[in-house]
Amino acid sequence: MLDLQSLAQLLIFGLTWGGLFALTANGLNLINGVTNILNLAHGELVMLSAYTMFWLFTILGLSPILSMLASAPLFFLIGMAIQRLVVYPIIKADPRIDRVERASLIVFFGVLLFIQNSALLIWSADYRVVTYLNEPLKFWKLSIAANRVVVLIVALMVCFMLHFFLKNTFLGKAIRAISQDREAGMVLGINPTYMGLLSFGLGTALAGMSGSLAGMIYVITPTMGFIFTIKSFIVMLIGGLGSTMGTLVAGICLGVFEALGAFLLGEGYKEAIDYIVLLLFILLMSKGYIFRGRTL
Amino acid sequence: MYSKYKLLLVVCAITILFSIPHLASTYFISFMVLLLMYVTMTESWNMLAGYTGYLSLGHSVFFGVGCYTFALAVVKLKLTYILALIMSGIMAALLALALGFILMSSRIRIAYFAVLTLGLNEILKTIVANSEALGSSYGFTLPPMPALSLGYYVCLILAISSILVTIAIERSKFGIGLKSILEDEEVADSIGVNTSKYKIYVFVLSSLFPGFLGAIIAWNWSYIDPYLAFDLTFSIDAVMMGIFGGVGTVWGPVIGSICLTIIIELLWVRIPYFHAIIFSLLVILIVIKVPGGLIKLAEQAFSRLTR
Repeated sequence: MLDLQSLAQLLIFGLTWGGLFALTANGLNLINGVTNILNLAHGELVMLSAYTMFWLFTILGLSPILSMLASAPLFFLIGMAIQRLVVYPIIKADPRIDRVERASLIVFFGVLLFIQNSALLIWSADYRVVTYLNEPLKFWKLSIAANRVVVLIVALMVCFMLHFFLKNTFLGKAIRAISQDREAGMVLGINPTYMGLLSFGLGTALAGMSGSLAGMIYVITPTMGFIFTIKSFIVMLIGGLGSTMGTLVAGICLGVFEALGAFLLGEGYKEAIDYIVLLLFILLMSKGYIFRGRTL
Repeated sequence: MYSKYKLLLVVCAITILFSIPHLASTYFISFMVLLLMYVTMTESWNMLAGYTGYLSLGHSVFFGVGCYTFALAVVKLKLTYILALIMSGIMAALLALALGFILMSSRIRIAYFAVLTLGLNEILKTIVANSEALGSSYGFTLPPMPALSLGYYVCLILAISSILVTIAIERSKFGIGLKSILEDEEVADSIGVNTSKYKIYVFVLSSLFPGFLGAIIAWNWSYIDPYLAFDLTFSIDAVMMGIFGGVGTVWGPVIGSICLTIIIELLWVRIPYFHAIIFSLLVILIVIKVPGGLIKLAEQAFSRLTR
């Protein structure tokens, strides 16, 4: 039923998916950590970046890897613009954290709908596909398309670079300080508004990178963003709200789990499995069964 | 003096609403059914979201459960329509009860609750679409409704009762307890408000109306499938209308849904996705500028006029 070769194939698929979701989840995690805002529109930014990659590829012939390097700064700016236009008025109106959280949930819901429906209007719901590096690599009797390996490697590399940045550079440590304790960070001289802008930019840039990668292995359509949002949210929760490596591990685990589940139960149940995992996880966390000093 | 005029207005409005099927064209009656559908959905969503602050983004899951219970009861179990209608409401309430026990027994971040209800909609949609016993993707065809006005009257009764229930909540001790949960749940807990009980109660209450609504609308449409019944845009529209009108008040969602349903009706034939773009822009603007919604805006304008 399940021989070693297809198991290995499934594992590679799962690892690739997982790496991609881990990258997106890290972006969400960064934004959530610093500003305590859940960016519901995160997946839509992934979708936008996939379209950017598609148009750059179709019109200019730019390879997805290069367009990833090009869209990262672009999406950094877009992220900062979103924070300035949408989040800053909310914070100015009522700085209490729970109010900001609630209001920004609604606003980002609106941003999600706006981006998704504008994309549907402008680009129509047709599927776009980018065929790039489709030749299979063969090793040990397995043949995997080269673009999947590239996606996995790049996703892992960016996650490791992010971890290094957050752990060892001064700016990264400032970001971590603000996300741990806002007031203490302010006492130390870190400007929380600036950090908020920066984290939004960085998180969106990560989404931009994962969008370029996702466009290589998925079909590009305006509704692809929503799934990314939900899955990165799940990965973020399971991996841990502050930790980059935890999100990476959780993402890969979820990807592999999903691949196995899709094989055993059928393609349609994939999302259902994810949600049930999420439900169980939140249930266990709120009852206190999962500790390590983690709050819900 | 002010309330006497209000009572007169209400009586006039109710008389007009009840006599519409005799006076208006079929198109107008079906438009009113759509309007009442949105009013009920938004008002019942508001019961939970406006008073406790728990935004449930997937409220259409109760609508879908109502649809499918009705369809299964009528087509597979061959029950009478009234029994099927009652069962739909009960099934939706049971789902809300189960969900409430899981999610609302202890404090949960609003963002997580929102995403979880969203996810629940998708789970149920997938499960129904993939199971043979529940009709899978083909859905159910129901026997047609004897007259359109039957659907209209049931929807009207549902809308009015949801408004009445919201008024009852607003004026009762229950409502004050809910509002305290909105303000600060931790403090409410420490004062002695039984937050889990209140939250679960209002969650179940807010799920009854979409359940009944699902049943009657399924009958109206004569056909349901998982993508129609568990359509996310329905609950998204309800959320948008609630926020636009003014979440947390009695009449805010009503006004919001009336305005925005008119916009839907005018726009949806012209440009396909335009209405969602307009809605989302309106909501973003409202939350940034006037978080209280249209009602708050009207209050501000009114107070400026009567200064």
